[in-house]
Amino acid sequence: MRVIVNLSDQADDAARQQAMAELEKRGFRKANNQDELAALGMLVGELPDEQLDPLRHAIASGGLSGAVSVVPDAKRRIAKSDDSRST
Amino acid sequence: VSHEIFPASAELLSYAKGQRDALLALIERIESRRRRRAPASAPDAEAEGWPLRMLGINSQSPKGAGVKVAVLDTGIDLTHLDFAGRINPANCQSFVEGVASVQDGHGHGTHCCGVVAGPITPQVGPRFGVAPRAELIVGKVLSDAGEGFDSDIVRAIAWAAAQGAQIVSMSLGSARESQTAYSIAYEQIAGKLALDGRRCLFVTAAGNESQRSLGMIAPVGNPAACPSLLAVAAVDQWQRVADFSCGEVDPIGTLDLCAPGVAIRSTVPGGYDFMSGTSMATPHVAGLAALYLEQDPHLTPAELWRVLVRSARNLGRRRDFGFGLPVLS
Repeated sequence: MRVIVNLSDQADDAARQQAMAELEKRGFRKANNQDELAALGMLVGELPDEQLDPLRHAIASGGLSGAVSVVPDAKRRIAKSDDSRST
Repeated sequence: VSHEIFPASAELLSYAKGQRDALLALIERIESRRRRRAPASAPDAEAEGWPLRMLGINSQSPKGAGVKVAVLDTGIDLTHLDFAGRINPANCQSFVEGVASVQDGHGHGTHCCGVVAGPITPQVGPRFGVAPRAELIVGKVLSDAGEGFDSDIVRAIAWAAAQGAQIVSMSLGSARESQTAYSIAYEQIAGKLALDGRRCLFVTAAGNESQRSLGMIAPVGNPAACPSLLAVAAVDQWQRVADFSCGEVDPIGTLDLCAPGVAIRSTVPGGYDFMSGTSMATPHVAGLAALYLEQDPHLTPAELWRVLVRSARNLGRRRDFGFGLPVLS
């Protein structure tokens, strides 16, 4: 599944690198074309479905040095009302 | 009992729809007559449409010069004459997988771009663009079916900020159940941008899931429910809350402002069309923010937010209108 990863601004570089290594060990693969996002310390990529719950458990229990959070992707759509019509 | 109630409810719904259709038809007839009376070359061709007048905008108002506004949506019609020579290709990028161009195959994004920065004198009809001299940054984050993903939208937000966007208009979202959380990814990127010294005001659509005529008010959706994003409700020409407009029905999804969002005329691929939704209210507020930013380019996003709220005319309950209708002062 696609996920959004946030590397904590409070964590130091070593902790963030360690967290990324752990993510990659669990099968996380970064998507292309996200230079601007990565520069801010966020990433999007693919994570094997079966890894999401263990990963979240590891984060919640204080693992990964508190350096990372992972959010599943969500779908959005236009906020146009059905009242609209062509003229 | 239910046997008696349901047919009556169906009749009521049918009647409400009939009234709505009749009203929309009347608006269209009036607009058609106005268009016939006022061709592009007529002296009053620059007259502002009712949404601009409602926001206190006239021909003497600022035009948004020097302000960069990003519209993250279904893209823009790059061939539309109202945008001819005004869209910098470097300010356009698609984030939809497998789609290289920002060309809008839906129409929604072009409509929102028109509301933000349609020209002072459109090819046809009265002016509808709030900030006609603002520089548009166009991120295609929704497919031509009108759908997209957070992962693409947050990438686009980071890109738009890097392009220098000072205001980000997002007429998109999804329904949120009452008392459920806001979308954390948007809060995270808003926080990251602030930490990085990027000055972006995020303006978002509250959502259209209400059916107020049937007594149902849906909560503000995501990502509008995020505390760092300004949530906008929709009102009609008579400053009544739109039937579909989501409301502040829980402490998580707060409503900030309202703006015109019913039967709004703007650009669509190949011409013009009327659309309704908090989608249409959102770019009105984004454009108005650009006008205030032109007046005072030193405003931080938090200050700009406060200026908009302070300018708002109270139209009624906070649940329905937020702090009210912002107007140019």
